[in-house]
Amino acid sequence: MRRTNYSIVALTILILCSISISYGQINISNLAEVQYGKLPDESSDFFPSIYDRTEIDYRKKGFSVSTTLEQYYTTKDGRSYFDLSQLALGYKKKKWDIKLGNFYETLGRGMLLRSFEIPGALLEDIGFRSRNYFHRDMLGASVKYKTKKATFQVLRADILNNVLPPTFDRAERRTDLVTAASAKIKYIKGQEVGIIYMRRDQASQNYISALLNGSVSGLDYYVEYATSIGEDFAGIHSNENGSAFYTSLTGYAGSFSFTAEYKNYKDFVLGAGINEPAAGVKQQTYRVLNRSIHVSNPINEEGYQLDLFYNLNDGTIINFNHSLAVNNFGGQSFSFRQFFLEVQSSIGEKVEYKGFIDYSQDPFKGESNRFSIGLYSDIEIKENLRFLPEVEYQSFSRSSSDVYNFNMLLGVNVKSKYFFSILGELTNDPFIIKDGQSERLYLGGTLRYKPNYKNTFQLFLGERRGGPQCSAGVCYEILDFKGVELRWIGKLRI
Amino acid sequence: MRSIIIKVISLSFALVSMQQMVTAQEIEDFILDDINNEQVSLSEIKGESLTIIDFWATWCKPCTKAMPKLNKIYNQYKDQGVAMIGISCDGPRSISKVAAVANTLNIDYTVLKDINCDVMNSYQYQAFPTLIMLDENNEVVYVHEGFSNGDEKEIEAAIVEHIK
Repeated sequence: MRRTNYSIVALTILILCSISISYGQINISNLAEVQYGKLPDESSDFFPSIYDRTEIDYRKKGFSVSTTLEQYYTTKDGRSYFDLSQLALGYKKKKWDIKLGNFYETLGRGMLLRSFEIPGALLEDIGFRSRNYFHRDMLGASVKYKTKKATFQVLRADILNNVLPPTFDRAERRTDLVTAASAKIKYIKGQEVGIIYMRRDQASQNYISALLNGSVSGLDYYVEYATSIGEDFAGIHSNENGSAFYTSLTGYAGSFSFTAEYKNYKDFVLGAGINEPAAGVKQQTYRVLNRSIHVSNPINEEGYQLDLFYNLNDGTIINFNHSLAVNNFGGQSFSFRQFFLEVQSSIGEKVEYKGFIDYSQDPFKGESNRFSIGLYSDIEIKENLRFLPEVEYQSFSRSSSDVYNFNMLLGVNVKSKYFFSILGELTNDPFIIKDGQSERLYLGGTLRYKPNYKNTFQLFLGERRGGPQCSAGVCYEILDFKGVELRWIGKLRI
Repeated sequence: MRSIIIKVISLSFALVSMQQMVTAQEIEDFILDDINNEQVSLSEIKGESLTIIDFWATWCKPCTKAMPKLNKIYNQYKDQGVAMIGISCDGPRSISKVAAVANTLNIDYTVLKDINCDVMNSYQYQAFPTLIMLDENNEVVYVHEGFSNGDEKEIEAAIVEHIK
């Protein structure tokens, strides 16, 4: 990075600190990650890299100024960058919420527009091999007026295509400009009706969405229908017949609760990541299931999800989930089916556990009879010392292969400040093993030290399996890694 | 490369050193929908003495592990001017499950929905769950990130320390 850039950053921090001490409040957070490693199958030698992201936020009586700096350095040509990735001004007071610059926004349930970030997640694409923070924000302006009875909003902004790292020009990463207006009115207590209009400049396409949201006699409902309402002229990608329908119903009585969802999406992928319709499948944090989550395809998908919860009131909670997603491509139908059962409970006062069993059919991935099972425990050895064993197993058939995935984690938690774990993952997946091998083992250890909420240090050593990763309802691909990695997350309030 | 490493390490040390300058963080008033679809502001439901805000999500296992324990703490201290608020950061894919999960866990405190996670992001909290404790002036007096069994004792001790 050029010396002038550092000078500007240092000067900015100094000025903000001075202002803050007298007039306001500054929050600074920093995420730094140092790696020395490579992809396990990469022919090159291990190489070093540093990623750093600093957020600086100043706020006083409803006004805010915030900026995010990202930098990545490696010895490999063409991958390093220093980027002022976000700069925002905001005013939030009583009924008004005004944003200028970079911001996040979701309209309705994201069928037309959803921007977001995944806290702590870094993206590394196999093609570009540069690392950047997982955020998909908007650059423009938004004005929201919110009362107890109604919410009105207008916005106009460029969408970030975050698959392209900051080594690309800003113009290449933000090619879609959207303009949107929405109005939501609570016509009677707890009942809301809304309408959203959105226009994409790149495709000269217009969309409209109508929604109902409310609660009646212990039942919460949400209904939204979005559709294209025509284009000005033939665009780059047209959704002229596109539509999306989503509804959910949530109910609870005593110890029993349920959520039912239905979706029907037709040609409703808007641009490079403008929208993110509800997936209608369960978000999984278990490793084998997280990697196998059905990624919904709004080009063509219809399905439902049913989630049932029951609390036995002795600390035992049972969760059953069933989902179906049907995709039709080229006259062929692919039906994803999943049945999931989870029980979490305790034995005495010192042992807590949760176990799951899952059966799925995933013809789109070519995986049939996918069976998964796992058990996580939390055992108190003595005060401030806990043993956390986790074990999972998965098997399925793909083409003529019987595939299995097995993983085991052994973790120790001391005073919630120190956490040490060893994770071993064994697989015979033909997509992963090398020629001549029948199995592949990934083995890695993690040491985390969290002296206080302002600092977290994490050291990883070994080999880590990549693949699909789903976090906060968003699925993306992470790469395998072999080497050593040190991460520090620090916070500062002035 | 070596000079870059030195610069990044220097910046990190500078930030760590500056952490000693920490002053209280103030949370500004906000308005969100509760699970009954009614808009609620912080100023309406804050506690007379302390307000505890727990940022969580339905898909976050440590969050749902912590909530029954927080609920127990809430019921123990609510008569002493302590309010508790759960702010769900579930996005479009899981926001429909917020009420179901809160009910299954028998949560008595107020649960709000923040589909954009604006409140949590505004103050740069990034871990799930994150619990913050506010005094009567909405100044943050305690922060706890993550949750492991036994952490509830530390949280309760913080309440006892800061309650007036």
